[in-house]
Amino acid sequence: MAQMKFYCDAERCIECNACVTACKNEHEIPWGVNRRRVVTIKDGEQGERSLSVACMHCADAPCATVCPVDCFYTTGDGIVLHDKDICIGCGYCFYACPFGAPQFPEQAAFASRGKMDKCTFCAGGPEEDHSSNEYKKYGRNRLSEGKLPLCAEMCSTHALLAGDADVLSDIYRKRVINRGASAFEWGVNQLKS
Amino acid sequence: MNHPGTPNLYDTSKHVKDGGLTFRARFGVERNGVNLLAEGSFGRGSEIKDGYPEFSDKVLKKLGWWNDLTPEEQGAAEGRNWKTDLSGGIQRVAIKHGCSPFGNAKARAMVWTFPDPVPIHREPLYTSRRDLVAKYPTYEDRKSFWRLPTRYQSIQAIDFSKDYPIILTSGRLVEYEGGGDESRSNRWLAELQQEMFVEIHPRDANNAGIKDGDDVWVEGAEAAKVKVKAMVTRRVDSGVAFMPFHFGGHFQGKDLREKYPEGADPYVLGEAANTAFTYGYDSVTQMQESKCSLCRITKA
Repeated sequence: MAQMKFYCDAERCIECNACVTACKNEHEIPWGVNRRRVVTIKDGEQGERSLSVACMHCADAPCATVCPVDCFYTTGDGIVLHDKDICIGCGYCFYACPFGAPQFPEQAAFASRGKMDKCTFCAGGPEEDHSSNEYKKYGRNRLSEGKLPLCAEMCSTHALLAGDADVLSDIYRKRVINRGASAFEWGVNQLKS
Repeated sequence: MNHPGTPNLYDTSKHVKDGGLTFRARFGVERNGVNLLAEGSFGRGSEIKDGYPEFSDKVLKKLGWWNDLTPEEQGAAEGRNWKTDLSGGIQRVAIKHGCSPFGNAKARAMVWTFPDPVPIHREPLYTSRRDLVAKYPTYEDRKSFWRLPTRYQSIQAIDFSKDYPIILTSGRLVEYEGGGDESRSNRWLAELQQEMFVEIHPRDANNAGIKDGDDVWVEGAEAAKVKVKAMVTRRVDSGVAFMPFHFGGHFQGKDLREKYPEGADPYVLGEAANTAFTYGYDSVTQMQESKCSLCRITKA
């Protein structure tokens, strides 16, 4: 079985936010909820780096560990999904997640939390594949159509990769060899070129 | 022909049919007695081992390649060149012989129809470097430039830098396009950039008592002001401020949303960078100067 993963190559990400926009458009995500976002560190300084971050579909997902109603499950492809019919919107998963992936649409009265929403790796949810319920709650199910997540498909510099972990690490290994040095030795690369 | 496209211009290491090309012979074959065609440089596989003019029926006949055209192509190509021969035959035959249909000339960086045939530095009209004005002066004022009187030197002669010490430039954000009305009306994009802002270096911000996220007035050197949010960042150098030009709908601190026809107002409005920009036009295209001006920034 494949183990589905995201990988964002910080040498390539240009902070264009196309992944964010593609995601919001594909799944009709409301204003204020961001399943994916681009984080920039050292903005405007030497060594500036951007990374596109969403749910990383952890092998041992902390959100699932802390969930009091046990709404999370991991698919055969290693994708962490959750059931919105079980979710109580408590927000524990948001505290547990190292990436800030869980999102909570604010609902009118007292800005109380709605059901948690997060990246599904474009794999829908527990509802029947391609049903209108699935689309309404979890967004498009591209994986069942043999397509990869749209954010990665849309990435113009191929910084954001999605797919089987073995394939991704193979692509990344080849990139590092081509660059002639570790991706983490950016300053060294600059001096060489 | 199944051409792969031409990813790099002027790449002579590849055959034209494989995506190589030469420099286009666009401006004749000689000027002031000097040959403009390439000398000793040609694409891989070229049967002409030197420069050549653009291809036409006459060139093909002279080279003895005319009969490589089919009779139908010959009928269409008679009296035509590679651009006007609708059969495509002239292009096909030129490429078959390893030649670029548009000729093979010397690459050059001289445009004799421009005021500066070779680009040189000229100080902007609104400059903070008064010491460079004498050495790199702008053009004389022009009485009629595309029929319009256009000022250059008479503006540069005035020193604005005492009152407006910070260089102001403008540019794009990846989320928006052009004036931004359409992209600010798209909720996926508008959510990503909700405020018009000015980027200020921490040193300038500190001197003006401005904190990140404060409302500030950016006053251009012609005294028009825009009220925007301050982004204190090292993206800009000390002494330089940057504003994106995708916003509109606010004017000098006033929100004009009620003036939009019902349902036509974008999600996000903001001051237009152009409000704070100043006079100045390109010496060839008359494009407005929107990259280089002066401003002063104060807390609102």
